[in-house]
Amino acid sequence: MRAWPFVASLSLGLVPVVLFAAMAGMLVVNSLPALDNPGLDQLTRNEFASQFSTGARIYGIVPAVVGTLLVAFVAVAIALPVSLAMAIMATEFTLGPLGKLLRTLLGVLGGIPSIVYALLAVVLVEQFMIPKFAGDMTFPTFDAAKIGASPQTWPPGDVPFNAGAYPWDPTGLNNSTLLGGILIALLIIPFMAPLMADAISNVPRSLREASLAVGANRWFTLRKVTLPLAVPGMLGALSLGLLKAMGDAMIVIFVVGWQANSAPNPFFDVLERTAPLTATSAGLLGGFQGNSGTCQAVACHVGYFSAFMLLLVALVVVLATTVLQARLRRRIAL
Amino acid sequence: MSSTRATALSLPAVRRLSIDRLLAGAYVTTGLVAVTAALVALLENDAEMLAVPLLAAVTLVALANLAYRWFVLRKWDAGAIVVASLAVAGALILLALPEYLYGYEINGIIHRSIFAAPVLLVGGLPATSVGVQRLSGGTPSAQDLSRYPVLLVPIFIAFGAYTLLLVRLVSDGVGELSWDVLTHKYTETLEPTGFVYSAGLRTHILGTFMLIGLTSAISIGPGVGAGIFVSEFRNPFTHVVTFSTTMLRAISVFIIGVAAFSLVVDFAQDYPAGDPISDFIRGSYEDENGFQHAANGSFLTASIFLSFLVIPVIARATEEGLRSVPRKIREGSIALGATEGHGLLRILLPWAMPNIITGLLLGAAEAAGSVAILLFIAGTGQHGIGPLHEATSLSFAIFETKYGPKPFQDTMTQYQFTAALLLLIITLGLTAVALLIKGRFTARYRATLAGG
Amino acid sequence: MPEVIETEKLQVAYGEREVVLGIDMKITTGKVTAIVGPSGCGKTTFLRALNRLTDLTEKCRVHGSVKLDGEDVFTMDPVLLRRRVGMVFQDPNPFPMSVKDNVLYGVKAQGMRGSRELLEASLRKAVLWDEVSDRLNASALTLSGGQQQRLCIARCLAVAPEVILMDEPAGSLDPGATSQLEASILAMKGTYTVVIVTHDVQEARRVSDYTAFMLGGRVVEMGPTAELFETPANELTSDYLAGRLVTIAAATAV
Repeated sequence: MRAWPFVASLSLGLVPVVLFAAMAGMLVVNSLPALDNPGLDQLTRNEFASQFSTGARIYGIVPAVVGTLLVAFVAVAIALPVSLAMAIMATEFTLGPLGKLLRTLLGVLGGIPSIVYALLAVVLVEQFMIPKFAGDMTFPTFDAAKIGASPQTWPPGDVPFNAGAYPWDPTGLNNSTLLGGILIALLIIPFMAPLMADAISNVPRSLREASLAVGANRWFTLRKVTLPLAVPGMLGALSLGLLKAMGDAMIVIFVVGWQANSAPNPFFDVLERTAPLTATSAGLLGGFQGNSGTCQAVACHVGYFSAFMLLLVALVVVLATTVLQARLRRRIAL
Repeated sequence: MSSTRATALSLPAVRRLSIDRLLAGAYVTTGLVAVTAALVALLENDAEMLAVPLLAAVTLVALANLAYRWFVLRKWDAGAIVVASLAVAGALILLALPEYLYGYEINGIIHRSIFAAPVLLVGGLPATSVGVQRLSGGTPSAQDLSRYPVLLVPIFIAFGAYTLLLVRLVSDGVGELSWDVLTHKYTETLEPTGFVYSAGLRTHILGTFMLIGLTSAISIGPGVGAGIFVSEFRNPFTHVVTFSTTMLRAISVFIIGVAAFSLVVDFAQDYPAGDPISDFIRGSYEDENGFQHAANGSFLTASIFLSFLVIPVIARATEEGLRSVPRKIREGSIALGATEGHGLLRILLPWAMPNIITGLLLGAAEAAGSVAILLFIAGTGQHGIGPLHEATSLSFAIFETKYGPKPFQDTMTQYQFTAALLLLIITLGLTAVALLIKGRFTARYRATLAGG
Repeated sequence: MPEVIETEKLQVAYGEREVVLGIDMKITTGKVTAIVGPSGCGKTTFLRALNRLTDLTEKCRVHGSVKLDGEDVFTMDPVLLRRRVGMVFQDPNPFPMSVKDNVLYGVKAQGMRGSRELLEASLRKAVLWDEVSDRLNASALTLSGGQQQRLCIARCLAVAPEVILMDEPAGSLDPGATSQLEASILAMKGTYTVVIVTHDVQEARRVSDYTAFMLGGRVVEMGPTAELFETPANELTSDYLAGRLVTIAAATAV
C-alpha cells in the first residue's frame, strides 16, 4: 500500500528511459553496417553525391556535418542578441506593461511550428534574399550590366555556380544557409528569450538591491552583478537553442535541400547551400520519394549513420553544457 | 574630468541650458533618422543612398557638440569624438564599396545596403543614446534611459520579420480559404479516362485532431508518471530518468522520425497487408478493387512516436507543478497522517493540475505542428480517417505539396497557405489557452485549493 | 543643518494594504537614531522609503514627503539619492567578488577608480581591516557571517554617504559578531548619521542617541534614548520596552 505510488510512477517514469535507449540502440545497430560499406574513409570525405545523382556515388558526410554546424551557428548568432535584448526588456528594463506584453507575444509566437516558417521562406526570398544577395535579379534572367560587369567577365571564375548554389533560385529548393539560419533564428527566439528572462530573474533579489542601494544605476547593476550571475541559466538557454537549430529538419529541407554538395569554399560562406545532417539523412532514407520511397542498402545505412551523428552531436552539447553549468555555478557559489 | 579655466566665451546659464538642449535634441533627431534609415534599408535597397548624407549629418552634430563643449564649457567631449569617428569611418567604408559586390569566392551578388544597415546603426545608435542621456539631464538614471534604443532595435527587427511573414501567411491563406476546401476531402478516383483528383483539406484537419487526441491519451500517463517519479522520489534512478527526459527533448524531432521509419518501413515491410502486425503499424486501406494494401503508417503508430516528443514536455510540466507545492501544504498533509499515495492523489496532483494541463496543451500544439516525425510514415490521406488508417495531418499536407506524389502537388499546392493558416489557428489556439490557464486561472484555482 | 532627513505625513501602501500610515519624523545629523517596534509595525518599510527602495516593488505607492537636506527626495534621481543615503541589509549580501571589489563597487559605479587608501579607510571604519588585510583578493563569500556584514558596511561607507540606513543588521549574527557590529556603529557617530531599525530593544539602548517606537504603521513616541527608556510618556512605550506584549488594536487608539 505504501509502495504502490513508488512502483507506479517508477514504471511510468521508466518509459522515457526505455524509449531513449531503444532509439539510440536502433540508430547504432542500423549505422554499423555503414562502417563496412561504404566504410569510414569514404564517410569522412568532403564530398556527397547520393544515389540520385548521375555519376559516382560518394557518401561523404563531412559536408552534412559542416552544414549542420553552419546553419546552427548563423541561427544562434542572430537569435542570441535578440533574445538577450528581449530578456533584458522583459525583466530589468521594462517599460510599464511592455514587459508583460512581450512575454505574451513570445508565448504566442512559440506556437508556430517550423513547417510554417519553412513555407514562408518564399517571402524572405522575395523581399530580402533576392534584392540583397542576388543582385535583385531572378533566375534565369540575368543582366550583367546591372551589376557593372560585362558578359565576358561574368561569371567570375571562382564562384561555384555548378553546385546548384544560386541564391536566387525561385523554387526555393536550392537556397542558402543564411536563409535557413534566419528562419531558424525566428523559430528559436520565442524559446530562448523566456529562458534567458528566467535566468535573469532568478538572480537573488538581495544582490540587485545591494547594488542599487550603494548608488549604482540599473545598467551598471545589470552588467556587473545580474548578467554575470545569470550566465549558467543563459548557457542552458543557449544550448537548448543550439540543439533546436541543429535538429531542425523542415526548414532546412525546404530551404537548403539535400542534393549533392561539398562543404562550402570558403568554409564560412553562408550564401552557399550545404545540406545539414537532417536533410541528408531524410533524403537518403527516402523521405522525398512522394510516399513510395524506401531506401536501398547502402543509402539506408548512411542515412541512419547521419542521424546517429546528429545524436552524437546533441549528446556532446548536452554534456558540455551540464559540465560548464556546474563549474560556473560553483564559481559564483549559487 | 574637467578643468575650469577662464572661459573664452561666457554665456548666461539660461542660454547655455537651451543650447545644450538643442544640441542634444539634434543628436537624437539625426541618430533616430539614421536608425530608421538602417531598418528601412534592410528591406528597400535604394534607402542606402541616404546613408552617407545621414552619417555626414551625425558627424556635423557631433562636431558641433565638440566645439560647443570645448569653447564654451572648456570640457573635453569624449562622447562626441566617439560618435564622429564611428560615423566618419562608416561613411568611408560605404563610399569605398561598389553598389554590387561579387567575386572573392563568395557565392552571390551582395548589395551595398546590407552593409549600409549596420553602418547606419553603428553611427546612429550612439548618437541617439548620448542625445537621450543629455536631454534627460545627464544623471545616472538618464544613462539607463539611454540604453533603451540599443535594446529596442534588435527587438524591432525581429518583430518586423515576424509581421512580414505572418501578414503574408494570412493574406495568402485567406485568399484560398473557402467552405469547400474545409469540408471536402482530397480524393483520387479512378475514372475510365484516368485518375481524377479533387482537392480538400477535411481529411487533414480531422487527421490533425486525431493525432492530437491519440498522442495526448498515450502521453499523459508516462508523462505524469515520470514527472512524479523525478520530483517525489529521491534515488539514483532519478538521474537516469531526468537525463533520458532531457535527451528526448533535445535530440530533435527528426531522430524520432528516423526511429519511426525504422519500425514502420524497415521492420513492418516484411509483413504483408492483412497481417495484424502490418495493419497495426502501417495501417491499411482497400483499393477500388477491394484489395487490401498496406499504407505508409497508421495514426496509432504516428501517435506513439509523437508521444516520444510530448512525454518529456508533460513530465517537465508535472515536475514543475509538483515542485511549486508550498511546503506548508505538503507538511499539512503528512501531519494529518495521510499516506503517500493518498497525499499524492488528493493534494499534490490537484495542485499541479494547471501545470499538467498546460504541458498537455503545449505538447498537443507541438504534435499538431510536427512533420519531422511524420516524414516517413504519413500519406495524403485519401483513404479516410481512423486509428488504423493512413496517418496524415495539416502540417504533413504542407510538406506533401512540395515533396509528395505529383498528383497531390498539382491539386493541392494552391492551398498551401490555407493549410498553414488553419494549422496556425489550431496551434496558436492551443498555445493561447495554455497561456491563459498558466496566467489567470492558476492563481484563483490554487487559492480555492489552499483555502477550501 | 541639524536635521538631515525630515519626513512629513509619509504613507506607504502595498496594493490595498497600508503599512505606513503617516509619519512625521526628523532625523538628527551625526547621531544614531533607532526605530523599534514589534514585527509588522512598518519600520522596515519606512526605512526603505527613505532611500526609495520602495520604487522597486511594483504595487507600492508612497505619499507624503521626505526631504534630504531640504531637497525633496522624490524629485531627485534615485541613483544620486542612494549615493547619499546608503543601506545595510538584514542578511549580509556581499557580491560574489573579491573583498576589494566589493568595497570599491560603489565607487566604480560612479565612474571613478578606487584607491588603496579608500579601501583601507573604509575597512578600518567598519572595524574589519585587521581581519581581512591579508586576503583582500579572496572571495567575499569565504568570510564569516559577521565579517560579511561588516564588509557590507565598508562597501556602504566607501561612497561617503551622509546617512546610513540599517535594517536589523545584527539579525543573522551571533552575539560575538553583534558586539563587533555595534562597535563599528559607535565608531560612525559624528561623521555619519545612522538610522537603525531593530527588534532588539537593548541593542537600541546601547547604540542609539534617539529612539522612535513604532506600532501599527505610526510613531507612538520618539525622543532621546535615555529619556525614552527611563521616563516614557506613553504606556504602550513602557510596555514594549519592558518586553510585554503590545497589540496593534491598542495602538490605533493613540
